[in-house]
Amino acid sequence: MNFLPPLIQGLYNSLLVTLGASAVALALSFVAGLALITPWRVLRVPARIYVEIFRGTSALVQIFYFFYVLPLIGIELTPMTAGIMALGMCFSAYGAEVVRSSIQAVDKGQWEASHALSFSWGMAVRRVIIPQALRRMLPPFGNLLVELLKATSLVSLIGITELAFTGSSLVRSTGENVLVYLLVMAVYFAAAYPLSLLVRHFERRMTKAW
Amino acid sequence: MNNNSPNPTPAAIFRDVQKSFGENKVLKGLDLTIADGEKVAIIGPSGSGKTTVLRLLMGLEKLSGGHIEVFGKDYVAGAKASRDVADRIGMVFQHFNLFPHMTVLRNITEAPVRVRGVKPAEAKKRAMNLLDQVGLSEKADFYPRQLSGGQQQRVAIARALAMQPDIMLFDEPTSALDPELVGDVLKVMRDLAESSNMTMLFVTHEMTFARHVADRVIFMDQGIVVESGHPDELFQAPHEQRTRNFLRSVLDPMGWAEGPKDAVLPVAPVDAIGPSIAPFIQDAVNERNRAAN
Amino acid sequence: MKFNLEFALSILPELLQGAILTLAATLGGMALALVGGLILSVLQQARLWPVRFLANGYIAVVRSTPLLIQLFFLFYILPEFGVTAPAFWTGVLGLGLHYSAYTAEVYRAGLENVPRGQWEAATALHLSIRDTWTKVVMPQAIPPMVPMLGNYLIAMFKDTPILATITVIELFGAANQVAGITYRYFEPYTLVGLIFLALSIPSVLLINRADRRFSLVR
Repeated sequence: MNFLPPLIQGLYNSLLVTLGASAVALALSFVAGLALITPWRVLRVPARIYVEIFRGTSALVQIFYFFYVLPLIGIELTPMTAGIMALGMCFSAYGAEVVRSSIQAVDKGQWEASHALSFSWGMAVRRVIIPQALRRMLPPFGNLLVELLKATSLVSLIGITELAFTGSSLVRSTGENVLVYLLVMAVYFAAAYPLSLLVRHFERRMTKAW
Repeated sequence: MNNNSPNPTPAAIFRDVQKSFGENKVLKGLDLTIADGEKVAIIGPSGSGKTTVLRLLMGLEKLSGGHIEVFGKDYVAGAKASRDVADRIGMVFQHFNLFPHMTVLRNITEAPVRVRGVKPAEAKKRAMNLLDQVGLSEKADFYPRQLSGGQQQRVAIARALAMQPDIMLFDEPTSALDPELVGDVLKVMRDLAESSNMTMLFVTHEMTFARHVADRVIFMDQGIVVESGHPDELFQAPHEQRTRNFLRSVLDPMGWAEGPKDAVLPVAPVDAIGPSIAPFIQDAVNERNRAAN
Repeated sequence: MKFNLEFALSILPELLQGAILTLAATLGGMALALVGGLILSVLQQARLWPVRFLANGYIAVVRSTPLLIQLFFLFYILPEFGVTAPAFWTGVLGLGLHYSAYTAEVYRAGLENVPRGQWEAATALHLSIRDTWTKVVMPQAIPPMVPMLGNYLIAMFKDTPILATITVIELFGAANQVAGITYRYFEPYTLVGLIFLALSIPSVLLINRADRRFSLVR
């Protein structure tokens, strides 16, 4: 029996989950990350709590929580939505730290010069700080994307038919456990490894100063 | 924004100003009045609090005690009510702090366009004028990293000028430069000081510059103003022993000068604003020795 | 549906028992990863290119594939080799093998962190190779590694729920069991989350402090 076609189909779904979750994560990373560096406590404190809750617990637990517990308090989610939201929010907590630390890594003199030129906080962030911080964010964001792609395997446990789920069903129907899981790993590798090479390439280019 | 007639209201008044960083008291009750249009050089050993004076005025630090008035208005760094006053102050930093992701031209036009609402074409025209003044008009489309430190600092001066401030602060503008690049920056600042009626505060280690460009020199040590006066007076007849000691350590670091240890050493002549003052000291010392024989 | 505190308290002992297994797996996995990473980073420096290739290949494959699949793989392949360890040990082995690929990079980064000038200075001072390593290089390389390794310890801790998928009744597995029997999800999963937070937040704070202290040294 040819295992590859169903696995490729599974990979396709894994990539869809990755795409959805990374969109959620990217948006929330910036919201939470910027909130973490605002001069305003009312924004900083909730952002910090959000980040610590999602970083402090396990992605798998969060997925189960979204899928099994949220319906009990009236939030009914399809497995796909639950998986994408849970992974997206989980990774946004790490992403927020990337945003925060990249912004804080920008030389303090840039803030001071912006201030001396009468820029408002928002203008300094938009025009001066973020453009410089973006370069630093790229490699860690790339690494998070690789981690996210691997973490999508966890949504198989709430019944999404992505790559890991497909592998497990094939094992159940054929009993070829070692072969199938080797193939599953090969497919993940084929997707994730080029991505991490790309990240490393960027990382090397980023070390060059302005 | 600059008036041509001198304004009787002082540009800035410091009253019993205190500033601490944690346990460390940097300013211990500083009193200082800067007249409108005055060019003031602040000198003193590192840790004397001279940079803090500028940073307080720019609103980069918060007061720990005392009052600051700018153009007769009570000035509280960061407060909304002080925004208008803060807008009248510009600053040049030791490490230039140019925006690395913008060209030289955009570094200069960004704030006038975004903050003041100047039309881009107008801002560009003014920026080119300023670049011409600092001798860098051909570098308009370069990025800061493509310029030498001295060129970057001249761009930073042009950038600050583009906002047409009434008070300009220079925080050790030549301290981060290679010695051979210092001269061009000093010349730009001298020309500016001589041709404009802006109030200018220089924190500097360039004694030649302080001696010949400033209207008044302030010597600070350990968080207070020790002595303040006309450059001729402060450099040639300092009243305070601390001032004498400091000047001696700066002008004759190796202790080579002959004569009594509390004698006043000469500062290099006015046209000597150049790479370094060290050679001129030796010349001056030799000259005095010859005169003595 | 309301959170039932009484029910939550009644299942707490069962969950805490699972938590002990979670901690045991984390510590066991980390011990393996510390040694495994060291071996890998030495192999990465080997003179024979096939050795280097294998070490680098191992690291690339492990880092590019999910822990979940690696655990499944181990779970099925070990018996084929006649190894019939309890699932717990398979889990510890899986965590250790997985995180070896990460700790290896930490060791490498730690060494690269020591400026070349330090080696040159040691040579110029005619220090022996042994003194160069123990007196100059290691004291500078190890402190910055500590927070990095600490971060992986916490990451591994948060990965332990995956062991539940190979039938290890650790914290998350225990919660699943409770949920499966009682059909109540709110309390067990909330408790799991809280226990995770209670353990990971202090650890993160500890590591941040270590990070700050060691960065002051540099």
